[in-house]
Amino acid sequence: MRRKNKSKLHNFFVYMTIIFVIIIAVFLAAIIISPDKKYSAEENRMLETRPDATITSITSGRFMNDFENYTNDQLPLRNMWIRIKTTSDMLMGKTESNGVYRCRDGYLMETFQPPEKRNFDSTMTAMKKFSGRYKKLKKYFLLAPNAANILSDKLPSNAPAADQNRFMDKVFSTTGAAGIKSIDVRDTLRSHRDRQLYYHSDHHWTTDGAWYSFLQASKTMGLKGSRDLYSRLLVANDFKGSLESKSGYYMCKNDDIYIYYPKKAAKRSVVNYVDEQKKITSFYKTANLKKKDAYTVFFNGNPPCVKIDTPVKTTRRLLVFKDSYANCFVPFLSQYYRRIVMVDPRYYYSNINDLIDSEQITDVLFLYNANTFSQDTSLSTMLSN
Amino acid sequence: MKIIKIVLVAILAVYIAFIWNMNGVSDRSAEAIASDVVSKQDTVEMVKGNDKTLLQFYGLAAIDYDGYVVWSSKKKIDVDELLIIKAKNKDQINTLRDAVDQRVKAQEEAFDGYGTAQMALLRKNIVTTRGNYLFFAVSKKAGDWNSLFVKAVKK
Amino acid sequence: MVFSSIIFLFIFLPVTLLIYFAVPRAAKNPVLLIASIFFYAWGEPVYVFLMLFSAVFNYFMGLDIFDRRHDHHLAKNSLIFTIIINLLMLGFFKYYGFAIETFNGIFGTDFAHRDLALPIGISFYTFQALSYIIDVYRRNIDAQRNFISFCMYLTLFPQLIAGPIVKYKDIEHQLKDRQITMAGFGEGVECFIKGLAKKVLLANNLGLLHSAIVALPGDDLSVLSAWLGIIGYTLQIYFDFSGYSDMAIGLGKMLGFDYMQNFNYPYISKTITEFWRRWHISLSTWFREYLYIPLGGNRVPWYKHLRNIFVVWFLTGLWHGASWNFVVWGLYYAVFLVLEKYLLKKPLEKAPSFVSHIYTMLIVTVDWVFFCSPDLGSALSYIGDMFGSSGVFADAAGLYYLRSFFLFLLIGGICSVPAPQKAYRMIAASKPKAAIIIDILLFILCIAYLVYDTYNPFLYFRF
Repeated sequence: MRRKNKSKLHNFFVYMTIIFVIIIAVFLAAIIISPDKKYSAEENRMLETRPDATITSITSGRFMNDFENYTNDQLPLRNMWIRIKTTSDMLMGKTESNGVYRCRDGYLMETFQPPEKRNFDSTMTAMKKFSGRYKKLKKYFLLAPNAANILSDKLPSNAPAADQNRFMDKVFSTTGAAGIKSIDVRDTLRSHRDRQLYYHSDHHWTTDGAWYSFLQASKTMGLKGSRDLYSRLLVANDFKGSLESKSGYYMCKNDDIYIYYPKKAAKRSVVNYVDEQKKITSFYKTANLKKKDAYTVFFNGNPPCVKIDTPVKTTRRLLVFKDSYANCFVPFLSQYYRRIVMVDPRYYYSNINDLIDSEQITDVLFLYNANTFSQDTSLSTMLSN
Repeated sequence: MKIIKIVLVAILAVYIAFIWNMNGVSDRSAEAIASDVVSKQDTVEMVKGNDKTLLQFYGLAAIDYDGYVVWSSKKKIDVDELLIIKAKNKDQINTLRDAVDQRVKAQEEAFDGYGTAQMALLRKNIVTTRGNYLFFAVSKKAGDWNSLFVKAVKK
Repeated sequence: MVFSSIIFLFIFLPVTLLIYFAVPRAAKNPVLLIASIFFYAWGEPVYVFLMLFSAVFNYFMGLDIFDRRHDHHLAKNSLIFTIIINLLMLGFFKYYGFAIETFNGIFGTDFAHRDLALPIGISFYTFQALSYIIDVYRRNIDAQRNFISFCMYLTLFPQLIAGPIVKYKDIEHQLKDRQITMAGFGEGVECFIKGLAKKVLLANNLGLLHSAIVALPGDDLSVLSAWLGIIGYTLQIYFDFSGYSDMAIGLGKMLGFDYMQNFNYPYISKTITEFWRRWHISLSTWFREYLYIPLGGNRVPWYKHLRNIFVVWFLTGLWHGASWNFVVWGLYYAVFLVLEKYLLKKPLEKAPSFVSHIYTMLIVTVDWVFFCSPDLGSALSYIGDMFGSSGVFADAAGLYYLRSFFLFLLIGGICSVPAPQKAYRMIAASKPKAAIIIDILLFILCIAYLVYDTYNPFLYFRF
């Protein structure tokens, strides 16, 4: 009996040898043969290409590091491996991946990360100084809460989450005291929870979430005139967003994207993409709905500077400092300002003061979502000369 | 055998001295190092950059690092550039190297087909790290500046 | 380069094996030597010369001591010289900064020190070299005249970076005469995949539990959270270290080498004494053979015996890292080993099994806190939390992590005892194809987790 078992282990080991050699040989061949891919849609980044071997890159170890990244990035069936991993995690009971939680009702959410004190102080100081410098301008700050805040009941039970509300309260009190009017939409959004305010698999708010926030903001900002200027149009029903990419949970619900299209009563705007030197009459790049990141239908992503002219009878001109939450919000403002200048501090490098003077700005709106704002360092760089 | 022992110990001593030297870095500010590298004459056709420049050229947030000096050409048609930046810790060095590589790539794309002289200069860029310092230069003087940099960080 | 990486598994390993098995017997050792140097240089392009120096130096010194073997006095001189140079290298690159800081701490001085990077594996290859040198001096072995063979021994890539510490005398004959068979290779593969799975699937994930707990905000942890964190670490370090050893032993077997076992289910130990016969066996036997026994071991008066234990465990702790935490970690075991030898031996033998198991695991788990904390203060604070210093037994975070990691902890616990391996071997003997499928599935999962580690999505891309 024992000898039979021993020889059977022998068979087992021989099979192992054969299988293992075949597997690693196949992988080696696959890696060598398969052509290098340049871009990953899922990860939204360029993939590493074969690095050059130079003396300095080898002695510093950089070549080896880059070559390993290259091998990892170019491994065939990369997305399949990611899927296997996240599925395995789900089966093991983990509800979080790369900072993104799998929540109830098919939602993916990121939790709030408190800011580094230095960065936060620097941003608050810069905003205070800015406000002091431009006392005559009407200044507003719409800091939007994120899904994990408004829909906190959907997070996995007991999931550790830092307190976004405390942060937002602090921001509002600091900037409010410095002359920037707070637009706090938390209660408004909470009261509209029956609607879909956030996307299931994307970190942005839906156009509906932006709309309810706009209704509140328009009161604070004193926007006169009708609100009934838009029809709500469904433009996509297969949106899968940034959180799906970030987490690797490639199996979420599809989302609908709505656009609030101007009715006949609304004045048509001309949108000027300054850097790209393009002028078009729509806020929306509908071709982007076919792309992986369909949220870029709004303003084609994050251009550094956009100027929107609308032939309305007012002298009010608005400057918006923003992150991507503003992309689906700003179109609502177009009917109330002769010109809106939208600037993304991460990519805009010219002088703000010159811009304010030359554009004859009367109002300034800061529009951020709390998660992004807490980690931002470009706003303070832009505001302080 | 005696000779072999002596030779081996000597080799070890030299090697240790070499490693020691390579790691000998001062703790001075990036500004101080830069002042040892560039002279007034070097920067006649250049302008000193600020936080915005750092963000614009390299995508780096000044607040994340321990000081920097960046010089760029006054004229947009020139590509002369110098960056000396001090990281807060060694882990940031890779980020800095990537940022500088991206900058060279972006510049090369911008000048591709327009300026062969600029392209040549860009291709000869020098990047050196010593301890927590990173040196990056695009210039005819890049080599000289590099040697001055390597000396300056040892003080 | 690490074993648990795509580049090792699918580029370095297949290429090396291909060349190794293709060349004639005489060329196999040089091939391994070159491959090992390449493997090391890949991770340490500058320090590779230090490692090569160690090989060359110890080769010549081995010959020197051997040639002097008939003159005890001369041989001893050479031995001392060799040991000093080896320890000087290790001490300088690993402990110089620590020494300066300690000196500053004691005497209030403020000497600055340069931050040198630690050469990978220096603790391992230095100890391997010393085992060779000392055994040549003791005339247990002849010096290795073949330069290639000796250098290959020191630099062999399976154990170069993270052990086990292979004593020269254990594999002396295998340098020239080793058998390479298909079954032997397959046995190596089984061991390798087992180790890979331990590292990638268990250690890395349990490590996430530990780092999540440590990252919780606030100064106090609930009892539940504190225990979850340290149990996570206890399992992580076992699977990480023993997994890596398994991979090393497996790779060795694939190449025809038989290394000794480095871990033997340490967490089933009933006493600390037993624990150290099952944990990091190659290190504890190294210290026993080359330090403890030369000092007299336990065949000396009790006060010298205590001194020997103190010295050995002080150094065992220090070997793990240049910090006082590690020394405390080591001396803590010294205390318990002494207690067990002189006081607790009888009580532990008489106590029921589960009591001894709990006693051992409690001691071990608490000591890991010293091992993984950044400093003594935080270690003590953590231990306080484990025993209720925060006043809270179970909080929301603790419950969340318990739920998230429950299955990993359960599987980790089960894999810490011999039963799964025995069951697996029974399946392999009776239904080999089923066992192969298990291995393939494990391997696929490992690849998936390795690829995910490189997953790097970028959210704000500017066109």
